[in-house]
Amino acid sequence: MLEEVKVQTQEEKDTILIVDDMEINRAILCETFRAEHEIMEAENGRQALDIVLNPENSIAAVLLDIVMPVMDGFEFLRHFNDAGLGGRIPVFLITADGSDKSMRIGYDMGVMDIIEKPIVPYFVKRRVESVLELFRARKQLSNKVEVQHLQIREQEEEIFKLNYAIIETLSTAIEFRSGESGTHVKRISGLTRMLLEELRRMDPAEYAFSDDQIGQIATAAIMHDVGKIAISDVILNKPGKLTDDEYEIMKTHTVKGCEILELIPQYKENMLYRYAYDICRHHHERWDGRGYPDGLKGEEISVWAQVVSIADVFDALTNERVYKAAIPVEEAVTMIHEGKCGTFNPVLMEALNHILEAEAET
Amino acid sequence: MTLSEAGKELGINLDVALERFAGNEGLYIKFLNKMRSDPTFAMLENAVADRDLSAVERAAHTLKGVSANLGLDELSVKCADIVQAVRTEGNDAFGHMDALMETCRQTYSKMISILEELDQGETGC
Repeated sequence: MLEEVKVQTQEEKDTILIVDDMEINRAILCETFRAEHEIMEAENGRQALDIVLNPENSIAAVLLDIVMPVMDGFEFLRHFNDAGLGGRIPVFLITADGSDKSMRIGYDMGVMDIIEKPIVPYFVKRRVESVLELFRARKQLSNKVEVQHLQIREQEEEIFKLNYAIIETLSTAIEFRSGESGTHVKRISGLTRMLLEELRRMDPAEYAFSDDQIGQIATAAIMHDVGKIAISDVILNKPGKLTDDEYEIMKTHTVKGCEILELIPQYKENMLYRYAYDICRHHHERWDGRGYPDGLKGEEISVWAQVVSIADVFDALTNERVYKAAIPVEEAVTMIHEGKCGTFNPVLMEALNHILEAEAET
Repeated sequence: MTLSEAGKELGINLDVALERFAGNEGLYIKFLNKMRSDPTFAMLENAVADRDLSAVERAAHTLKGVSANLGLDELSVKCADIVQAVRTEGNDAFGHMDALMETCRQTYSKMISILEELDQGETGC
């Protein structure tokens, strides 16, 4: 893209618009510039405005007389500035009126330079061309900056994707240990996103998540069980019921997950890891305060931790695990509503119902 | 009458004037000739007769610029005097406008009569 721009400015001649009501004055300026530039002519400000406002003409500079019928040079400048062209296309006043007053008005209206009649072609050419060169360089530079900006954006996206892939791969590897399919983390992430979006739809004031925020929480949800890496295979893969001691060890996967996340440099500055930390620690808390590890209840538990916990339970129920068979969706919903898996925020259960109803319809 | 003869009569610095036409004599002569049919001086006369101050300023200003570009410095200076008088004195300028116009008219008439004698060079842009 940058290359393209370069080629364009080198091959195409700049177009200079000459605005003067007197043909002879236009002819002289035309003679001065026509060897190296494309020329367009206008007899008054009105015509000049029509030409300059048409982007197809891509005017590089305007040489402007002041005293003209229909629309004079100053009125042209007013419209020109109102159209946002001031500073983007250099304007040169070419005038026989070298009074301080009109020169001041001209400069105040943003003209680049004031050239007095009778013109000396050599000087006019040098003055106009040095400004054209400046504008060309400035345009190239801003194109370059834009290209670099795009590159940075692409790299940022690349890093983000890579980051996501690493998180998902490691989390999936951990899930594999407990004999679950790698799709569990993906389903949790997807359901978390749907629940957050549904909450936002139901009550935009209370659940005012941004799209970015929802994306971060959904990614963070993938890491909810990383602490299971610290739980021994014997407990993790035990087909039968866990003993009380074994269950106590199993419960530590929440806190262990947080310990792992704490090892990530600068995790505290990164919202993704702050969500992940909270979700790791609190995705087994329950609405009535009977969850673990901290026994938080109600609003003490963050919405995202609540969302991941209901998503986790729903997914565990409806899919096969080492210790149980898959349960049909309707039955799973009934179990959740009846509090068989602990108590959940009623709003969240309602959101889950909405999602499942919408799914059933499609 | 050749261009250099006419130039001498009119007090034109031909080297400077021709540079504005990239040395193209034909083009220069074409535009000198256009002065014969140019309505600006008549507009100036009418504006003075009507005592229309801003019209006087506009016409004198336009003629000042065009004649300067053509190297017709004498006419340009006479026009500049009128512009100056209008700007500094306002309507009081009409007190001595007849004198200003008379000297300007003399210069203009002389120019027109010399231009009518001028050999036609090649024309075309």
